[in-house]
Amino acid sequence: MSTLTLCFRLNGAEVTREIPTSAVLAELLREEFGCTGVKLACSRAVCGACTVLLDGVPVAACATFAFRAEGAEVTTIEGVAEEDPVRRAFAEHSAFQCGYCTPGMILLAKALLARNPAPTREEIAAWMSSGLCRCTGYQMILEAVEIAARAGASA
Amino acid sequence: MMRVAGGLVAASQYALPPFVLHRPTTVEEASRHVAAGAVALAGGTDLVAQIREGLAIREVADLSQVRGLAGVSLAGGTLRIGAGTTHAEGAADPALRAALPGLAEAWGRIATARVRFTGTIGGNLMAGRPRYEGRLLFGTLGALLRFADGTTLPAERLAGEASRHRLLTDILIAGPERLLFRYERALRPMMTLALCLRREADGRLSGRAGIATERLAPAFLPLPELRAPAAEAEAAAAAAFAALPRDFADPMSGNAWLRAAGHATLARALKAIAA
Repeated sequence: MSTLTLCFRLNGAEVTREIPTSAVLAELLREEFGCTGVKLACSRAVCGACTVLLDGVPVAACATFAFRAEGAEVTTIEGVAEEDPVRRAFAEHSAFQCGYCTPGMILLAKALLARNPAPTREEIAAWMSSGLCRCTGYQMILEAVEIAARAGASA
Repeated sequence: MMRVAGGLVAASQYALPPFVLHRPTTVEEASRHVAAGAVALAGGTDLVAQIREGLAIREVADLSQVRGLAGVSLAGGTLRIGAGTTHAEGAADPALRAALPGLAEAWGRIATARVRFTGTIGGNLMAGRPRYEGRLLFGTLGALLRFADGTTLPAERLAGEASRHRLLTDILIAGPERLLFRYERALRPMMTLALCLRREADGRLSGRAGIATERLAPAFLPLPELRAPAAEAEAAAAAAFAALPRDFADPMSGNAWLRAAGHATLARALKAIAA
């Protein structure tokens, strides 16, 4: 097969699309579903700007074939509520400058806190190091994750 | 797509060419597709990047539904690691942590949070990228790679192209209870170093070190027999690095620097492993 019918849940809603086998998840999410919070930058799974959650696991959507989302729950930044503790912590603590990395950073942080509700500073730094901030705003990003953890973001 | 200096590639956002997708459910079925030319897709964290860098593919065998490729077990004195084991699973596996804690610890430090839960050790090895650390770890350990067609290959001799049409199923490590293993990656990407010592029945220690860089496939260096690694660390490191080929260098890490840094790192690792 070189095309297939893909069914998955996107931010809580069932969706279906006919796609070529080679469709990349980031392009599908942006172009078919308008999820422009999935940022494209390196296209090689290096920078983390395109990070989404696939059944709660952070993946680089720019380097993931869309067919791997079959039957899965895909969460993009559009699926994270404004009152979400991580999102609020990033906003209230100004944990961004240009903002391009922010959706990926927030989703990375959510994945961390879902696994480890009370991470140490070192654990946060090790985990978040898979996201690159070209503005080098790491200090406030790390602090925002600590604030979110204290606010019970894993719940 | 534009190739630029040093093997780097300017990223392309353009759509990838379609391919025929196979979704096997058994090792035998997957092996047939791979032998016929399909590219095996394990965790799926690397292949898109490889295509963007110029890899031409016509068929893909998605291994995500193949049963029996993942997991760690110890039987008959041999540790078996399934090729489909993810980095997160491997590092946390109780059998591995008990049998060879140095490898579990090293495995827990490779890759990022976005790769660790989906990337597999089989994909790491078979991707053929020097900067992926599986070949250094398992090559230094003297591990054996077992393929679905029944053939085996020492991990240190793995070359991406030569093995591309075989499906890796297991990694085998004999006598893990006699192995001491340590991995040093603080200088990555300029240099990484692995150390494996085997305890012989009479108390002697034999073993080797492996050294790699971002762009160089590992070189494996035999160590002289040791009785007291801490006391003999400097001499053993000097002997090992005397065997490092003179052309082992890349644009970021020259041969003289690799010898000096490698010697210091290996000596430190020997002292630490003895402690």
